[in-house]
Amino acid sequence: MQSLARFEEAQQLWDENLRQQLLSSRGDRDTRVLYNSRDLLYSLESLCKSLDRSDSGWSLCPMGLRTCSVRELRETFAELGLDRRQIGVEDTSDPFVEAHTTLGNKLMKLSSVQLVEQYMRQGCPASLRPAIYRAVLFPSRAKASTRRRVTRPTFNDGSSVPGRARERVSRRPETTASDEESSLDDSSDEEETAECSGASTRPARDSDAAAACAQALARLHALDVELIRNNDNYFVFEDLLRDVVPSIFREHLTWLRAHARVAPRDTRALPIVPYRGLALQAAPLAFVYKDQSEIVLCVREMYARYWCQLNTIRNTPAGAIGLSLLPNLCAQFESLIQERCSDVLQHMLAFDIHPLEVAFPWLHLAFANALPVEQLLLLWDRIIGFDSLILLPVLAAAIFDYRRPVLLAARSTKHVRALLGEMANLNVIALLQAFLFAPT
Amino acid sequence: MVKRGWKETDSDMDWDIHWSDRDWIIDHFDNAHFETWQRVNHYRNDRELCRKDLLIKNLKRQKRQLERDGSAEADAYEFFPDTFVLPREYAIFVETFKKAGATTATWIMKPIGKSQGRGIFLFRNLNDIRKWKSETRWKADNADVESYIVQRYICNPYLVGGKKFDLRIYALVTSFTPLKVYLHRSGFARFSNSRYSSLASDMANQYVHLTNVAVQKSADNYNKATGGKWGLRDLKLYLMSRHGVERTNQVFADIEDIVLRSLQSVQKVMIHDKHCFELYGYDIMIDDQLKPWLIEVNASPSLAANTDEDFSLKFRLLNDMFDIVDMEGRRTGEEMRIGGFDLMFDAANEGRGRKRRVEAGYVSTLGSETP
Repeated sequence: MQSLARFEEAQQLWDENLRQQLLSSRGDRDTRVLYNSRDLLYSLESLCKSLDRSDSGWSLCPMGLRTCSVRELRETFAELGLDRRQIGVEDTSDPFVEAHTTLGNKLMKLSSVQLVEQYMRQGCPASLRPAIYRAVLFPSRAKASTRRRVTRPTFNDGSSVPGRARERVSRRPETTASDEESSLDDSSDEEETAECSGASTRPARDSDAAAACAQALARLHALDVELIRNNDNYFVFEDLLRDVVPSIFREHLTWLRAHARVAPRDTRALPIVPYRGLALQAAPLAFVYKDQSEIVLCVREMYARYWCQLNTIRNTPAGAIGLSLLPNLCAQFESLIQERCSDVLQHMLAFDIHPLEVAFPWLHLAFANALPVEQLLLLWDRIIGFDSLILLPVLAAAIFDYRRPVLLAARSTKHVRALLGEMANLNVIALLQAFLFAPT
Repeated sequence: MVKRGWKETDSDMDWDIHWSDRDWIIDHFDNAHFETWQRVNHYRNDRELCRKDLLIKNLKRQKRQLERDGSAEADAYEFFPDTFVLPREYAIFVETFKKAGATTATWIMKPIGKSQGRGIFLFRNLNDIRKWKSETRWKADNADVESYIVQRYICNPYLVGGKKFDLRIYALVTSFTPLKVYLHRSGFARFSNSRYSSLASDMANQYVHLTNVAVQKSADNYNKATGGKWGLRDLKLYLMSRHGVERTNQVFADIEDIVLRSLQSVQKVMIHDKHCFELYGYDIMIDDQLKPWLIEVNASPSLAANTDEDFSLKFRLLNDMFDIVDMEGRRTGEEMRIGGFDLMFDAANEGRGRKRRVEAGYVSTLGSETP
C-alpha cells in the first residue's frame, strides 16, 4: 500500500511538473515541454529509487509488480498459437488469406464488436482494415446498436472492481447515459475550443494552461513535421498529417477527458500532454484512412484506449482488467528477459547495458518509431483485438531473443541500439508466435 | 560478384561474364565470338525496346498487325499514350492535336537521346512548339535519326498525399526467342516532392511534373533522408486499404501485361543471342482511374543507391539476377521463382509462368514479400 501511494505521489508530481513547464513555456525557451521517452524513463527510474527496495537486483525499475510468465501469456494470447494462421505470416497466395478476408466481409454485416475483436487477433487484411477499425473503435458510427457500454466505476484505494468492463483510474463521477451519447459523437468540444482561445469561464489557471498548451502545440507542430518528413513511410503524407495532432489538442480535449482510460486526477490538468513521438503514432493511420477527420477520430480513440496508458507512471491497480500501465509493462519486459534471455542479460549487464533502456522507447511509443508501417499495423491489429498492451513487452523481449547471437557480441548500449534498431525486415507476428509458442 | 566468389578481370575477351555498358556491345558484338559459357548483359539491338521512338514504332506496328489479324489482343494495346515521332510525324501530330480541340490536353516533348529528365517540357498550344521548332536544331546529324517524341501527357496521375509518382519495375529477359522473362517483386514508387498541380501556371515546374530522381534531387525540398521513394509493398498496402483487393490486384496484373506485351512487340526485331540477358527498368505511371501506362523502358537502369534501403533493394536485385543467369551452374532452369524474381512468362514451355492471361483472379506477385 505504501508503494502504491508513492506511485500516486510520483504521478502527481509528474503531472504538476508538466503543468508548470507548460505554464512557463510562454517565452521562447526551447524547453522540453515536449517530453520524450528518455524523460519518462528517467522519471520512472527516480520513482523506483525512492521506493528503496533492497532486493532490487539488476532491474532498472524495481517495483515489485506482478508479472505473467510465458505459460500464462500463452493462455491470454491463444489466438497467436502456432496452429493458428495469421495475416502477416502466411503468404498472400495462401488460401487462409482469402478465407479470412471473406470472413471479415461477413462479420462487417453482423453487429458484434466482440466477434470483430476476436477476428482481429489473427490480423486484418489490408483491404478490410478501414472498416474493421471503424467497427471496433467507433462502433456508434458503424452501427448504433453495437455500441459498447462503458462503465466508469470509482475507487479510491486500488481495491478490485468486479466485472469485465473497462475501468478507469479516475475519480470522475459516473457519467450519465446522455453523456455517453454525445461523447461517442465526433463533434468538437466547443467548450474546449473557447478555452484554448482564452475566453474561459473556468478559473484563471485553466485558461493559462490552455494558452500555454497552444504554445507547446506550435513547437510540437514544428517537431512533428520533421518526424514525418524524415520517415520512409510517412513523408508522402506530410500535408495530410500536419494538422492531425494539433487538431486533437484544439478540439477533442473534453472528449478525451471523458473517455481516456487513464486521466490525471487533478481536474485542472490536461488529459493529454504533447510528447515527442505522438505524431508517429498518428501517421500510420494515413495508410488506413483518407480523410483527416477520420484519422483524427482514430488517433483520439487509440490515445484514449492505449496510448494514455503508456504516458503515465501510475501502476495498474490490482484487479483492473484491460489496463496495463507503463510501469507494469516495464516490469513485464524485464521479467521476460530474465525468463528467456538470461544469457544475453548476463552478458549485457556485464557491460553495464540495461535492456529496458533500449526497449523503453519501443514500449512508450508502441513501436511507432521503430517498425515499418505494414508490420506496425499488424501489431496494432492484435493490440486492439486482444485489447492488451502486454504484447509490447512480449515483442520487445522476442526481438532480444531473436537477435541473441549478435547481442552476445555487443559491448555498449549504443551498439545494442544500433543492432536492434534494424527492424526493416522483421516479421513481428512470426516473432511473437515463436517467442510464445515455439518449444524451447 | 566478389561476394559470390568471382574475380574481376581486365581482359578483352577472356572473361566469363561481362557487365558492359551499351556502347561496348554496339562496338564489339558483331565481330566478337562468344564461347558457350560466356554471358553478356545486353542485347545487340535493345534500342528497339529502350529508345523512345523505336519502342513506339514497335508497339504501334504490333497493334496494327493484331488489328489486321482480327485479334482481340489489339484492344489491349491501349497502354501507351498517343505518341508521335518528330519531325517525321509532325503533320499527323498536328492533325491529332487539332482534333483534340482547344481543350486542356497537355502534351510532353521528350528528346530521344537524353535521359534523367533533360530537355523535357510540357505545352498546350501549338504556338509553343512552333516557336521552339524554328529555334531549335532538331535534326540530328544523322538524317535517319529522329530527335524527339511528343506524347499526350497524363494529366490525371494517381496521387498519394497530393503527390505524383511513377513506378520502377524490374524485368529480366534471359531469352527473346523463345521469350523468357522474370519479374522482380520489389520495385519502387518515385514521388515528386511537390504537390501535383494541373494548373497552366505550373506547367513549367519540373519539380511538380517530372519524377526522375535526378530532377527531384535538385529541388530545395528534396528529402535526402528518405530519397522520396516507397517500396512497392507500401504502395500495395496503401492501395489495398483504399481500393480493396480486386482493384489493387488488377493494377498489378495490368502492369505485368504491359511488360509482357511490350516484349512481345519487339520480339521479332530483336537479334537473339543465347549469350545475352538483360535487366530492364520499366517506368510506369498510374492514372487516377488506376490504369497503368507505359512511359519507357531503360536498358541500363540506375544501380546507384540514395539510401540504405535503396542499396539493399539493388543489391538483392543484382544478386537474384546473377542467380538466374547462373554462371555457377546451380540451377535446373525449371524454377518458377529465384530469389525475388518470379518467372512471368516462358514461351518455350507453353507460356508457363505465373502469367496466364486467361486465368481469372490472377494475383500478381509484384509488391509481395520477398522471401
